Amino acid sequence: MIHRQMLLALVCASTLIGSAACSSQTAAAKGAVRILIEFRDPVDGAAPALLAELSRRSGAGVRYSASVSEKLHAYELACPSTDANCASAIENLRTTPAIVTLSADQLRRTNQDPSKP
Amino acid sequence: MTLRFLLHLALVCLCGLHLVASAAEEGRVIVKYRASADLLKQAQSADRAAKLSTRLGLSLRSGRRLDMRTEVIRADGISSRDLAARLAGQSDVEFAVPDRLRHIRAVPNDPLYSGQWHLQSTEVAAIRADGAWDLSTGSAGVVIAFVDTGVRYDHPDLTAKLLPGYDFITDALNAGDGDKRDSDASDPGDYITASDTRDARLTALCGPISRQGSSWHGTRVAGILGAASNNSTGVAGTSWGARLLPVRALGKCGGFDSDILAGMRWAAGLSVPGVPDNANPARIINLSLGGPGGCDVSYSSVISELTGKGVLVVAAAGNASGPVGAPANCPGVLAVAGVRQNGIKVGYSSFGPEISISAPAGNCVDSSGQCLFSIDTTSNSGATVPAANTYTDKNTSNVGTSFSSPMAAGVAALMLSINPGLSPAELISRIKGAARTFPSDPALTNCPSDPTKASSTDQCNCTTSTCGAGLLDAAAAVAAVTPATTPSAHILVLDPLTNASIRLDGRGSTATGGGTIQSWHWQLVTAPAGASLTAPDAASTSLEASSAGTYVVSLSVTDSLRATDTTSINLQVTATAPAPTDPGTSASSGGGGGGALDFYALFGLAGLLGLTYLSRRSQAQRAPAR
Repeated sequence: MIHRQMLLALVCASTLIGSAACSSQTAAAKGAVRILIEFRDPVDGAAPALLAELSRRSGAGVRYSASVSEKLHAYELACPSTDANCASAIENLRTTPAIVTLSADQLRRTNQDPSKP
Repeated sequence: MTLRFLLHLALVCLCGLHLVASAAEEGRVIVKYRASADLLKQAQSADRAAKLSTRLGLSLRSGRRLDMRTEVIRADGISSRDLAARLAGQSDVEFAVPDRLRHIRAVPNDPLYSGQWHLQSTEVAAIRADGAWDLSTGSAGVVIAFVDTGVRYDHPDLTAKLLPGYDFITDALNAGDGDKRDSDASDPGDYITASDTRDARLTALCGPISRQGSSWHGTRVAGILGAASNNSTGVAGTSWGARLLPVRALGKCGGFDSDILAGMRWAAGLSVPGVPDNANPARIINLSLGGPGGCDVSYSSVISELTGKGVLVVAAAGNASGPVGAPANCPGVLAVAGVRQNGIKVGYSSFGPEISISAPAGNCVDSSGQCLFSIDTTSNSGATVPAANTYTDKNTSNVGTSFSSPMAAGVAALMLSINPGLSPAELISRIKGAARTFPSDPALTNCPSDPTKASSTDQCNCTTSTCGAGLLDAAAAVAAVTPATTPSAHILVLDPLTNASIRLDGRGSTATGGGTIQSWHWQLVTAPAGASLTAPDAASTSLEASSAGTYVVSLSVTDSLRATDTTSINLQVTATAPAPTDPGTSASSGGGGGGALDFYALFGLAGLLGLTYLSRRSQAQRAPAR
């Protein structure tokens, strides 16, 4: 976590891409939109340069969350108030040539103990 | 005066298990020499064995002599089948058949097994695992992964079955163990405290949450998949032999697709960035989890990847009483819906055309406070953090489609233990093909074709368009992948007390691999003069005993694939005082047939080994009246 924060800070400092990427550090606490992105080619999903590019493309703060495979990675989007549900940000990412698919990273639950036996 | 005889079973030989020879294996064969055989000039069995050893180039040992011309021959490093074939080729030998070990129908000695109705064969919806265990109890070579809340590694009914897993939960907020992805797949508890419900960060992550105790869900699922079985402890699992791979992806309020999918890939042996590779790839992945909505492209992509690697994904339908949730609704998944003990869809189970099969999910038909049809399994007693390991029961009930899914996964593991080459599609096809037909309750309507129109409390009659191919049948599914080798001859001895006529029934003989028994042939192998068999080519015959003595009767069956099997039974008939007639009693030889019957067979083997003949009147177990 510390390592990633440092990387993000570095991205903010070095690329000066503005408030979107930097604000992503607090995205999780604000109920960020979580997405899964499948890239056309293997990538380092947490690479600062990639995060910066995703942020630039989407117009949202982008925080790396986790990797599923070398091509499939999870992110949190923190979108501006003008795009509260991140619809525009997601649509912008969908049209990115390096991205094959994009889907919601949803919460799943166990199928135990229904209250209607 | 009508003779009455006391019948003792002494010997059962025969059919059924076909083992591959190994250096440690001992071949056992029953040999009968021709009356004219030179070997019979050797009075001592050891001398006969020595002569045969020289001829065959094997080191043979003589075993028990059954009569003057029949005895058991043993040799190391050769299968009974191969040894029988070698001996049968000798001109002195009238016949040589494998002397096979027979078991009572596989019933584990786990003390809580009696409450595991879902594994047995009595209730309509029970999966008949007891019948499957006659064919296979599973193999340690098959690994089942379960993506879940983790597991209690110290549970005495699981610890020996568990492999090192991995914790894939990325967010420390809901992980419950204070960290992110790590190599510890143990379950710290998924409880939610009152303070958790006020934690803005956690509620932002989870959505609305309420206080709840720990579920020990992964530990429960693990017990159904493959608790240590026949170990005189706790419960039995569906697969006794399979090893279990815990993949932790669900925390305090569930888990995210990204962690679940990463766990699935890792379980299958695929690499996940930042995570050490899994040294024990799974062939089956159980997902007793889900959520509403269609199958996302991320799931369909990963499942396709896993299927291509030969990994079967099994998923619970969901408890929404409506459309099947994801990922159970993804192509290539064995999706499992839940039924009541009577085979009717349980009200809470989701359903629809995506379902592959239905299995018991647990239901509590009683208002006394007890849950009569709980799915009993391993658990933990901790309300929050782990405490004593325990088991669910009627008072601490366990229900949900979460527990239907691991039954199907366990059955798939049994199938792979017999045929590891089966693909996921073949496993699904065979499981569906072996399913039993859904019952129909005339008082209920069929489940609606549109699941969104179902009431959450409604039971309904399942159809193949709403609940899959039928009821999960472990015995039939495992039989469907058991190679067609030989049929299994089976002799049932019926009510031998009334007079000197002993009825023998071969109708319990079975055929595997799609064959059916086509013909029966009875033969008196050994008998006192004057004895005879009626209808020697019928399914049943009567042995007309002429006097006290040893009677060896063989039954050869031929199936529709022209495969044959022979079994024989040794009947020790002794003239005795009249005994009370008990028409409900019978005894059997052979491998299938039911526990009480084969209880006799087990003692019969003891007779072969030289123990005193078993007195019928001393029997405590009785076969059901026919």
